[in-house]
Amino acid sequence: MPTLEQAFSKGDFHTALKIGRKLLTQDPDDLQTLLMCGASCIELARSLTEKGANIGAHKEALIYFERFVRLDPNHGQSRVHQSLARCHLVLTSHVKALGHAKLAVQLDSASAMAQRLLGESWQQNGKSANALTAFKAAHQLEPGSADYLEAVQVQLHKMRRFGESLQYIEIHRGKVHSDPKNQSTLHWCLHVTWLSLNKVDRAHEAISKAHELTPDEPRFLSSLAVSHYRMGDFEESEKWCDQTLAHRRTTPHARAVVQRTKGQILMHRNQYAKAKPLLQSALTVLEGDGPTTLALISTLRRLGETEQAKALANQYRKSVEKKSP
Amino acid sequence: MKARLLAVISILLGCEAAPPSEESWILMDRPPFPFELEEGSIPFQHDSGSRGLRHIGESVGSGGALFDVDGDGYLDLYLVQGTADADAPNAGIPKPNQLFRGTAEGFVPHDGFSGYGDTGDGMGCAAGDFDQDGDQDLYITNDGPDRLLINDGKGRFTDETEARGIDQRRFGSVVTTVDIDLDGDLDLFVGHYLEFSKEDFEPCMRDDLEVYCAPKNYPGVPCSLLINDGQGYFSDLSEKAGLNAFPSKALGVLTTDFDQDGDTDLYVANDGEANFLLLNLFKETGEVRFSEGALLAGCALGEGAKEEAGMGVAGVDLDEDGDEEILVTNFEAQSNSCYRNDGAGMFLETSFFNGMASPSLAWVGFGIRDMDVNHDTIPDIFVTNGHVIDNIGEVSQGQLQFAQPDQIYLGSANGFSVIEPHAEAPWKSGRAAISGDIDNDGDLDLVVTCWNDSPRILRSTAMGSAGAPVIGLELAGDGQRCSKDAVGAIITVESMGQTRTREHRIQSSYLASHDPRQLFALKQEAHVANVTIRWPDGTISPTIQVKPGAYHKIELGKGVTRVTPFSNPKP
Repeated sequence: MPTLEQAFSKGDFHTALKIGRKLLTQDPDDLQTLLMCGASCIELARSLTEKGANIGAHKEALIYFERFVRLDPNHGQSRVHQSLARCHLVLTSHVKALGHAKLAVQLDSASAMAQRLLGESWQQNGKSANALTAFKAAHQLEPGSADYLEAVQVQLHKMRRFGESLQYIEIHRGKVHSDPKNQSTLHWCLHVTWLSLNKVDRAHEAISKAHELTPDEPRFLSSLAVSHYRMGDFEESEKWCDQTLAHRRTTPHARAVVQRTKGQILMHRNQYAKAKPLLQSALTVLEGDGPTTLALISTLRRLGETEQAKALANQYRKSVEKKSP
Repeated sequence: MKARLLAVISILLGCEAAPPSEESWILMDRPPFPFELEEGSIPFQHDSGSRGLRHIGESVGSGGALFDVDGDGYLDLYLVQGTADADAPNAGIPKPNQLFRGTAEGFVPHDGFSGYGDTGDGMGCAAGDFDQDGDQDLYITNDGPDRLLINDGKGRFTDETEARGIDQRRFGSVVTTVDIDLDGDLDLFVGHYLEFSKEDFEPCMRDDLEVYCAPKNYPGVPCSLLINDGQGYFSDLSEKAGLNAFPSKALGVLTTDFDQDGDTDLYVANDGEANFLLLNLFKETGEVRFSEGALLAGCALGEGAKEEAGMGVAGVDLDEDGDEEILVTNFEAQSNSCYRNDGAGMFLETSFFNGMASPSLAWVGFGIRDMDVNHDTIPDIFVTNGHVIDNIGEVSQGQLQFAQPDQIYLGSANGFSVIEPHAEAPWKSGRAAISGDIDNDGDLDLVVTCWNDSPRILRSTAMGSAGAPVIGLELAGDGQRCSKDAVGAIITVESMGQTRTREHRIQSSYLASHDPRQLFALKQEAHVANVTIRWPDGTISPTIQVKPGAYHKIELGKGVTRVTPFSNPKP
């Protein structure tokens, strides 16, 4: 039986958590075990594609870290507050997240992750300008990490400052590490930014490059499918839809997106009977999604299921009216 | 071979893609943009009325009309003018709308015309023979009271707005002629933009810069339906027709029989809201009443189910299946829409499949006109673009421009490819694209109005360069079974195994009233075309053989009554 530390250092977080839980039944106040259990939960959550499971993992992590802080209030570790901030962010406890993120930065102002968590916390609290400052600080601390560049890009997009986003990426892209992972993330940022600037061709080039660098990254597969769809290239789009569906790490959301895309392609080929189950399946995940709903309405009408189409149209109209201010 | 080409074209332009064919490359070799740009040849400077207040109405005008005012055989040009609020700083004296006489040399001011110079805050206009006396009258929409100007046949207009029952005081935008009750005269459908109050106005900011507010900041206003009594006197049927249930932000309107039940329906492009498909229940109930069915029909929202900023509208049968697709220009980041008409009132948004979408994403589209620019018998689309936020360059830190390029979506068997028709010329902020054969040479020219700027002429060189045979048609109703302008008639042209269908309408695009004559280019080797007209009352005239090279006036019940040869190609 491996020890907790061994399992954790090997990246076997599932085993580490199992051992840790057992150890805590014997000694619930062991600080090291609490930390490792909390960290294992967070690490495990990274690989979870189901939203519910992800929240569950963070809830469990929160229990361990909060207990740790209760037992050792003067621990002085930035990482513990970073973990707490992360848990509260996932659980959308905005104010608590911000408190822990601030403490994490205070304890280690050179930690890019602490700055990033602070940015995310400001963002959840609706303070865009503060969030941007924090994300930029994080990126400045680790300019080689494309993840931190992406955080700045995402924030600028939330503020609809797409032009500035492109400028920022162009200025800083030379400092991004040359390994495939960082470079593919850089190209992902470019893809999203070009899309927002309505340059579909450039966006397509960028996502193709990102995929070329890290072929196994599932989020690029679904984006490639949608990108080819936007370019009017059905055959390629369908190919990437199928690859996305076959990928073991495809999230339910990405799966639904490509089901919708595939359904839309089939509609344009007048294959409505084949499109229907795909669109229905997509709609179970993308609840209330406009494009999927409209595609399904059109499909139902063409299959002669007019009453169902009308019911869906009415339901959609009501949901849109409800959302309108 | 021809059958194969036709099949490819049918699949593709109906908004789907197909593999390239040898024939398509041959077609692509022809001159791709046969226009000559004429700048400054029309002595008119548009005044948007903007004086720094940034009231939304300033940003969307203005349009105009090409029509033969005095029956001399040349199209004359009416241009609508904006006006500043009287209490705005430097408001100045309101400038009147202008009417220019068409001559062989171009458009010139003419002392013989009178009474046309309305000084309202103008938006659009529609020309039509409202009083059925054989000449073209004018309806003008304003941000404020609309005007009805009656022509004496020589271009001397009389303002008979009130006398003829017109009382439209809201923010008028688009106006279109339509025989909605099939009684043989021209009714008027007036689109209203939104409800704006100077008193309640609050500036909109983007970062630290004041910008024009988006339409979502204001409530919508129902459109109006004005019913003609046959003599040019109108009554407002809006409430009875059920229009008051649909507050709109209308900027574009298209008339056609979408559900193919024998009466004319209306498609309304709304700015920032779902578009309307107003299905006319006249045939079913004997009364003009509308039911709105755009969502169910598939033409309410844009790609991605977005409520888009609908501006200009066009109708064209891209897939040669006998019904017309709906084309709509939209805001940046919203593709221009192509709603493929699948018959029975069903549409499918297909702009990403035919090459229309991606090239439109960067621009704010306004005027749109379906036309065969290179006379290859495949429909092309002209779009004029221009932003609405005059300081968008500053707001977007140079990423977006207020002045934008015009585009031609050149149709081929492979879908649309986009070219800029006059890439060397400075960009302007385009609004209306008004089409007409201004030199009577058998190709379709364009007048493009520009915001706070002078209009430009895009003079087609297709007759001089493409060398394809072309037939011209002028339709005339009898004023009893069909309006004298024959609006709503369906034209079918068959030649060399190709059949094309087009609905005869005079208004479309954006705030534009076009030359009422129709042009069809034929295949190079064609010597004749078979023309069939289905008149709005359902009567189908016997098929007429028409030879290229001339305009043929076809009158209901009489056949061809006049043939006017085309002028020499210009340029």
